Amino acid sequence: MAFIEIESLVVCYGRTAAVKGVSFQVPQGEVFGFIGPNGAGKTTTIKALATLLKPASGRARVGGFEVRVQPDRVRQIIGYMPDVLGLYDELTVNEYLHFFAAAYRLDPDRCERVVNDVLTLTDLGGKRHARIDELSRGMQQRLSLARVLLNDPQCLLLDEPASNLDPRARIEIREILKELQNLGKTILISSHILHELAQLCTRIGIIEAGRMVAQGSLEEIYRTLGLVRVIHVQVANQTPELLEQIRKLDGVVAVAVEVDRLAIQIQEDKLPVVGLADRLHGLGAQIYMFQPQAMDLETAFMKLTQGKTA
Amino acid sequence: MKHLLPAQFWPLLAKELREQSSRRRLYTQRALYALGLAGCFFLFVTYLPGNLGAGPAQMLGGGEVVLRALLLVQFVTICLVLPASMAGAIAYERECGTLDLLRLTGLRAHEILLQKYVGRLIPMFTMLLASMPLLALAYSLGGFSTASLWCGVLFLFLACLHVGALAILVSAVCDSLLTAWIGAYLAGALFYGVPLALSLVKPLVPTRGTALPWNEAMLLVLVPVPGLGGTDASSPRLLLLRSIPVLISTLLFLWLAWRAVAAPRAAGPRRRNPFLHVWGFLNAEAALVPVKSRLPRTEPVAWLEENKRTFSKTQDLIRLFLFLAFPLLVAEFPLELAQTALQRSGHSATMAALGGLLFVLAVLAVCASAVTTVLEERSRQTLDVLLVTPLSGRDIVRQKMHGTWRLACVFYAGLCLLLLIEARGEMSRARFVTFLRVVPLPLALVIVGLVTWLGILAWRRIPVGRTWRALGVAALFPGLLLADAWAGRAPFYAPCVTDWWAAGGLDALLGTLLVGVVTVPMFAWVAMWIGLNVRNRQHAVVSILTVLVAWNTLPWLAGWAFLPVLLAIPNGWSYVGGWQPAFHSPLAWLALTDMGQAGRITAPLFLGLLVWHTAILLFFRRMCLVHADRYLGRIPRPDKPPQDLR
Repeated sequence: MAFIEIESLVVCYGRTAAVKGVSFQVPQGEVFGFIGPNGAGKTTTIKALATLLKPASGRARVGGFEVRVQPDRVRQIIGYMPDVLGLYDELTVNEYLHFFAAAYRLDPDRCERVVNDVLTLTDLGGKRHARIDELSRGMQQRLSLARVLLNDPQCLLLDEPASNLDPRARIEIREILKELQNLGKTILISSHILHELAQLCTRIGIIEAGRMVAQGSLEEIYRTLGLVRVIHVQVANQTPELLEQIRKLDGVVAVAVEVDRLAIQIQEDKLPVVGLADRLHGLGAQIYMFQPQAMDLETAFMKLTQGKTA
Repeated sequence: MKHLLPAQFWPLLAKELREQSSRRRLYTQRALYALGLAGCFFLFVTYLPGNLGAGPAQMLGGGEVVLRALLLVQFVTICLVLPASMAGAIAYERECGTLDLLRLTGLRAHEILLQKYVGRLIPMFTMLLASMPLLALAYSLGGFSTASLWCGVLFLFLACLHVGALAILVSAVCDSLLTAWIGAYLAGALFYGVPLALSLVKPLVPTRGTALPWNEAMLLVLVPVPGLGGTDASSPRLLLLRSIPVLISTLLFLWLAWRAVAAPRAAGPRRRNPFLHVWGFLNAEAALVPVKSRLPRTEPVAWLEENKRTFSKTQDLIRLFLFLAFPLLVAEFPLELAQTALQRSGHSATMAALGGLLFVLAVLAVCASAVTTVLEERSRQTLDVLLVTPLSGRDIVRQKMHGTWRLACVFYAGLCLLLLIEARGEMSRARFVTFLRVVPLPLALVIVGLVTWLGILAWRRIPVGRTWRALGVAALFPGLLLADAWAGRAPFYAPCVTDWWAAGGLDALLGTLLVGVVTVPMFAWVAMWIGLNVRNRQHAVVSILTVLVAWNTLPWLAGWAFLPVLLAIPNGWSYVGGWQPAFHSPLAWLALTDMGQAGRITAPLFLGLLVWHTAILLFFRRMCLVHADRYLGRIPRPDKPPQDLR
């Protein structure tokens, strides 16, 4: 059953429609990556799910609760991390978390334990009494994530959680998110760092100018787009005859001869990657390197979007 | 203007002017100001002394009165509008982090400061231009020379320079718009208001059959611009001479502001408020409560307001109370002196002025706090994370007002102190008579100031812990009052309260009651409503300021406008009560009741006003609480499901 359901969602700022009939579903326990150019409507969609913007029409449900009808119930099961961190600079880490623990109406006797848990999870235990404005950007990001986890939400709405972070802080955030995924949380995450989404997300949605242009697993998107897969192969006995034979294989789109390797472009539905090595071997090729190129989300993104805004 | 100010020479000034000229509200404000000024002009002309009901011929020669009235109105406008506009000049840039970016460009600190200063002065000058046709009309009535007219124009010009320089100095030393805004008004009130209130004592203080040798130059140096206003306007040379202190203090303020802009800021957490720093120094950092606060448990937003917001923290409030109480206690001394000399009892103009000043400060502070409390969350971008918690919008707004009520309590305490001082002023006047004959007033003030300062210095050097210092500060005021009661040989205050009550204290009490219980909370809820609906802090500040000025002046003007109607009716004045519309202006109410001139207030009128203002209070409170979710910007819980989802 889908935990997040959006159906023909329309959200307007005055007369301008920022989201124009977006529909998608996120099953429970999955990580859904939301990508799109600036101004595509990602943040607006996430804000609508977080009950911060009222949809003009369409349905948006979280955990079975319609955001327009039961916003209070939705707020109890979500954790929202905006693209700006939303930190009170003058508070200490401990005060900040206790403040939100009280705002989430946690039992005062449980507060201390919950705060300890989230501090441990986000590795901020050593900074408990530090003022927020003295923390590094990465730590502030982790603190924001700690705040999101205070009420043990079933669903996390994360808007650009890794933006402006250095590689180490980005990896740390990614590891925490993987841990949360293992805990069964449903996560909707928007990001510009495409290869990270590819590593983390089970499903991807690409939005442009307020409309969803593609969604599904990365493989499904590739298949939908008819994108070719590139396999890098190094062959000891490379001859023009062998190259010609490879080009004639069913499913091979092109073979490019590079300095030290062959780049074979294949259509996966006709010629699976798994079977290619056997087929090459059958043609007499002596293979000493066989490397399928990673799914390239950037290619899909560039092919699907044109940089339009809503 | 574009061609006069090429961006390469005056980039910041050009940007400021372009920015301001693109705001539509600026033109609306100017139009409203011009209309208001025209209304005032016609009222002044209509009520020229001896002109009521007379023909146009009797108006001739009355231009001087109109000129002075117009100058006064414009000076008050400058004092009200310019600090609001100037306060954001540097502080807002600093708050947004753009001041550092400006300093990284080729612009030097003095260029930034001057271009900002001039950029805010020019709109003020253009606003004042609205009075030109009216001044010409006043001139046509006769009664003053062209020299007087030029003196008036020079007076307004210097007032703009001076008030603007003081406000930009405050802006340069503050880190946030709110602090700068409050600070600019507070500094203005202290700089102009308190010495002016003291100067009201002057006509009350005769000695040896003549006036006390009050040194007018001292007043001129203390409060140069209002001092100028009192100068004989037909003497430009004297005015120019007297404008020297104004120019010197203006340059001094600008120099200090330049130092503040040019000085590099230390890295790390934000600095403390400079006002609190000064008062922290004066009260020896006395803390009546431990600095460490408890963690929030049930009302987190109220906790945040109480513990973290400037001017809501307990220490800040104590300092603010000391800040208010010191001038009140100091002002009490010359007041007693004056009343003693005249053997007069009852209310004095000084106390009325102090009461009015306290009311203005209370309303400004409370409105500033209420209007910015939600806008601060918006500008810090913390509102969204607060809105996704299960706290209802109503809870958030209610708890947000917690800080405002704490601040209001300090002013209530100030008003109570003022009432107490008024009450106790009735007693033991005789003990000053001997002193008065020996020591002239300015010398007495200097002695009191020196003794106080030495006391503070000694206090700071006494090696005792913070707790003992705190206890000392806590004991100071009750100690003073007890000592005073003993010196007056009166068993506390019962007899003097009776005298005070008989001398019109009931009016003052009613006025204070109405202000404290209804008017201040009413303005606070109006400010909160504006803060919830306006997304930009500067817009919100200007909006609430406009509302306050209009609310306090329009009924008063309406009262005057109805006067001819009342005079036309036989016994109309006594029947209807010409002041009735004026009582809808809270400031007028307070001023009249405090001066003991509220004899015409009948019980039904008082109750009517109470009900009327309470109704407004409840209306805005209900609007804020019921529609809180919508105003804050999140989906409210619907009464019934939307149509397309049924």
